[in-house]
Amino acid sequence: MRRRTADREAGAGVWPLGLPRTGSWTLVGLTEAVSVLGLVAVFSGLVGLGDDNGDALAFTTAGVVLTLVGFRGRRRVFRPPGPTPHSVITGTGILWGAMIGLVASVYLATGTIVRLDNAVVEAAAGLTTTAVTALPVPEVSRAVLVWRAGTSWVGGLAAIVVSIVVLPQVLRGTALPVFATRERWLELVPNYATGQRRVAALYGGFTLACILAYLGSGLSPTDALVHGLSTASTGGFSTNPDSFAAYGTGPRAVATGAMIVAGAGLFLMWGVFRGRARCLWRSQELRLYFAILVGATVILVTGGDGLGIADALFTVVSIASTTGFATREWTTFGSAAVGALLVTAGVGSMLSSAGGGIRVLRARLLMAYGRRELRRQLDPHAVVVTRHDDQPLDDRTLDQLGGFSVAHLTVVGCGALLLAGAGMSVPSGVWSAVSAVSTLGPAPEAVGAFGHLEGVTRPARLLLVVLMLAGRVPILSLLASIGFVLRFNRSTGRRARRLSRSLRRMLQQRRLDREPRISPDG
Amino acid sequence: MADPTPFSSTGLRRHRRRYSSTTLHVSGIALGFVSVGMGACAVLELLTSNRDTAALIMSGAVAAGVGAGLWYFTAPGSVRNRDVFSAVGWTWIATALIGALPFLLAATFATGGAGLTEQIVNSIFESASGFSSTGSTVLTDFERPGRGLLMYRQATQWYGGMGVVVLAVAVLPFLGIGGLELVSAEAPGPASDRLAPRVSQTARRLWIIYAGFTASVALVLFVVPGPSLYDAVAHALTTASTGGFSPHPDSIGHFGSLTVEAVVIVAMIVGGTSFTLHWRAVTGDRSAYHRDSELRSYLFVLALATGLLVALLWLKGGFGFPQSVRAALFNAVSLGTSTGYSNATGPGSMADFATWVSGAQVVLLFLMVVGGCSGSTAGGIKIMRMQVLGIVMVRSVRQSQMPRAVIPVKLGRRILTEGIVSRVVGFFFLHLLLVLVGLVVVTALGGDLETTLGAVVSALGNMGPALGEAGPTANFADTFSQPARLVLSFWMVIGRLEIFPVLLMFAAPWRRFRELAQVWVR
Repeated sequence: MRRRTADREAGAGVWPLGLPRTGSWTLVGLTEAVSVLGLVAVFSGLVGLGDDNGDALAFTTAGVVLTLVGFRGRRRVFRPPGPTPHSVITGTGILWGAMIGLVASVYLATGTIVRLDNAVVEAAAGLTTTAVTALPVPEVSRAVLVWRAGTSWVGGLAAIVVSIVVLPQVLRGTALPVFATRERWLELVPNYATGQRRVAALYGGFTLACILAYLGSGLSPTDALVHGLSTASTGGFSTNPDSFAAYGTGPRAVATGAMIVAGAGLFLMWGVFRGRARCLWRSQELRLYFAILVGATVILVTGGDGLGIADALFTVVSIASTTGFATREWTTFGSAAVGALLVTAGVGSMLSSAGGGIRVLRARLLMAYGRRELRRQLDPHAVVVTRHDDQPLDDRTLDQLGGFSVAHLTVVGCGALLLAGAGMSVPSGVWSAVSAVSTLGPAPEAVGAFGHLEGVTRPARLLLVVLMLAGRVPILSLLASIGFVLRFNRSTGRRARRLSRSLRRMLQQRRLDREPRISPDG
Repeated sequence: MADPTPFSSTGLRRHRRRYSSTTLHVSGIALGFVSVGMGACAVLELLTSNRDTAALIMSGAVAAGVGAGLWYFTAPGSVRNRDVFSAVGWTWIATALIGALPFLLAATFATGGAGLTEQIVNSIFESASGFSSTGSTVLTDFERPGRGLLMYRQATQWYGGMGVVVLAVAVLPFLGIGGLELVSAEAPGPASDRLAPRVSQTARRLWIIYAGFTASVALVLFVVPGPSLYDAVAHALTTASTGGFSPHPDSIGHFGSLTVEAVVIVAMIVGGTSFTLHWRAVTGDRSAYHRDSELRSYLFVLALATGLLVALLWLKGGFGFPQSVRAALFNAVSLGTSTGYSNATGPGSMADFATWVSGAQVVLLFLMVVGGCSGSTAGGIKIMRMQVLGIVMVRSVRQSQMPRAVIPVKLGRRILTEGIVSRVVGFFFLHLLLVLVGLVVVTALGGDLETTLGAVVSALGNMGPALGEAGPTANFADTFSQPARLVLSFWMVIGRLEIFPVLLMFAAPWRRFRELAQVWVR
């Protein structure tokens, strides 16, 4: 057994056609994602059995094919020893792009969506856990609803695994994985395998709890399933075009509580699971998260829009956790309320959650960054120590965090510029860019609080796909992937130029050979 | 920098029958200079319309009296960083407040039954907008003030362009130690550049080139058919300072002359370039412009923005090509240099960018944020900082791939120290934080999201006109409530002093208060 494993890791096995097995972290991730997506498609098909349309059969067939391809493909690839930061960062971006392509092709193959751009938008919205949809929700079958929510669930899981398990292991000593004190992280993720198992168990358990709670609050099984998957993943997809406006106080209360937990992330769940809930109050990130929730709720309640505390809290929690459920058309509230919600959406959820945004911890550390610079202005030689949860952070980490945040804000700024160029108004463009990069979805005017894309032009939809992807994939991964593609193009160009040069030389030589030679004596 | 006295950090201390306080001393000198401007404008008023002569003379007397009192009864004390920030910050606050007196005493804003509070708020707003060389206005009736008072309004921007503290250091070298710190705290840009071994010489040279440039612009404008001598001087004062005030309600659009616009465009570009660079070029360093990477980027940004605007206006705005080029070039340069002139002939006219397509407005918003070169009179974040931020972003991507790599930040041929880099990043986050805080506060005080966002960005970047209802032909008094106008006035001063001095100006008084409190407790 040990020898077989060693052989496999060394790439000693061969394909049936004689090709060698490939060692690639990207391909391993891709095959695993294909398998999981296949299982989700099979599950969606099974849920849809009994409906008088062909969706159940189509999704089951597509799911079986994907699962088989995924499992067979997984046997042909292996994890190479020692992943480099470069390979993981670049691979993450490429993997996410491939997953979107795959899910879009499922939509097209099953006939759920006929236009390519809509299929890509829907796939990206699902996998990036963004609450916008191009689907005519009241008309689609149960299988499609579960599949759409299932893609959000897979996307949420992938996002958490990448940000909590993979990147911190690879990027030790860089700012990207700063999400908790090292001790707490090591408790949850001592190594890859255990970390993945624990994360999957916590995420799955939380999803199950959400589904049961929704069932208990009076939702139908399909509604409970779809909303449970969408809540745990902060996806925000609903079986109702009016989202939670169609439900009573029971489901809304469940959703509010579940969204708070989903936005707080896995460390909260891990702490509760380990019976250390009291220690969580020492978490500065959690305290700031609650402070943001309370502050924004107060602004909404006192904003003069006649909003009750429960509705205001629901809206704020939905936006802070970047879930995107709605009970009211909040985009038409007063400017102060909409402005406060914009800031809340930009900050987003906590770092170990499936939500998006610049994240609460990073926002806190950026404030600490600003405070450090103010302190240094007063005394340039002062040694200013920035602490997080009583642990000192070194300057290099803070500086890298600054670079990351600049990249994040640059993407938002460019997104707003391009969206406005694609026909949105200035506030709508800014809001939509912030919302898409935070993987929230809803925005004033074009998209609205319920996340319908009918009023959005085709170029704007495709821009939203890019922005959603930029928000879901760690932004450095996205930039590194773009850099990789550019380098690849450059090297391909160099190769092509070299080839054309040698061809030219060859032709020139041949022409010279054909020309009649003149002897020296005439 | 070493403090020669044990108690100087407490601010006030007896010193040869005079109290030692850098803040009060510098404020007194600055007020003295402002009183000279008021006196000169009073003479002009007396010789021309003679309506507001008394107001100007009384204001000049108050400014001179207060200034002389502060100057005579105090002596420059300690020049630790906190004292420098306190001196610069409070000097600007005092200047803006005393500078509002002529408007208040002349009842400039007593239109439409405005009460005393409204008049006070409007006077402070106009004064803050002038001294910070912003250019936002609450003046509706341009026929009411006399020519001398209107010239004083122009002169406030000229004072603010290079800075009253720089003027104080230039003219009064006996201010003693701390001159460099004072100039650095007031001068725009991340790092001050010396032109001579003595800082007073540097300050003097800056003012010489500034005055020379103003005179040149006035001469060219006077020679060009259209503006009278009064108009030429008035516009030269606000072009050199990139302020944007005009004695006419429709700004440069009043002349309706392509030649005048061309002269103003060139002058604005020169005003948005580093004056240090101009001095070097004028004194024989021919390649100074060519070597400067910031200048190249600045011209590139202006060209790119103009190109984008032309494309958007021509293809989507329904303008003809020549009109698009004229409107795009003028407004791109006007906002890119933070001047804020308008060539619109009235609300809804072709050059009124508040009515342009949203994509064009976002381009202008981007220009408002970026601003001109460091060391110039322009506002905004500054090109050099944007360059550094871009490099920091790329460095973060590279460092995440190679966690142990030490990658210096290189700008042109210069390697920047980590201190400057972190100061730039810290400035950027504080700038962003102030935009968000301003957005929430001003929307809470009334105003729609687009207008407020534009106004806050404009105030912090010292632009002048904003978007939405606060466009180039609009009036801030009609758009914002009184408290919102006061907040925007404060934001203008913060933007002019580039954040740090204003945020830290309370540090010295706070320390003094603490020490006094300790003495009282004992």
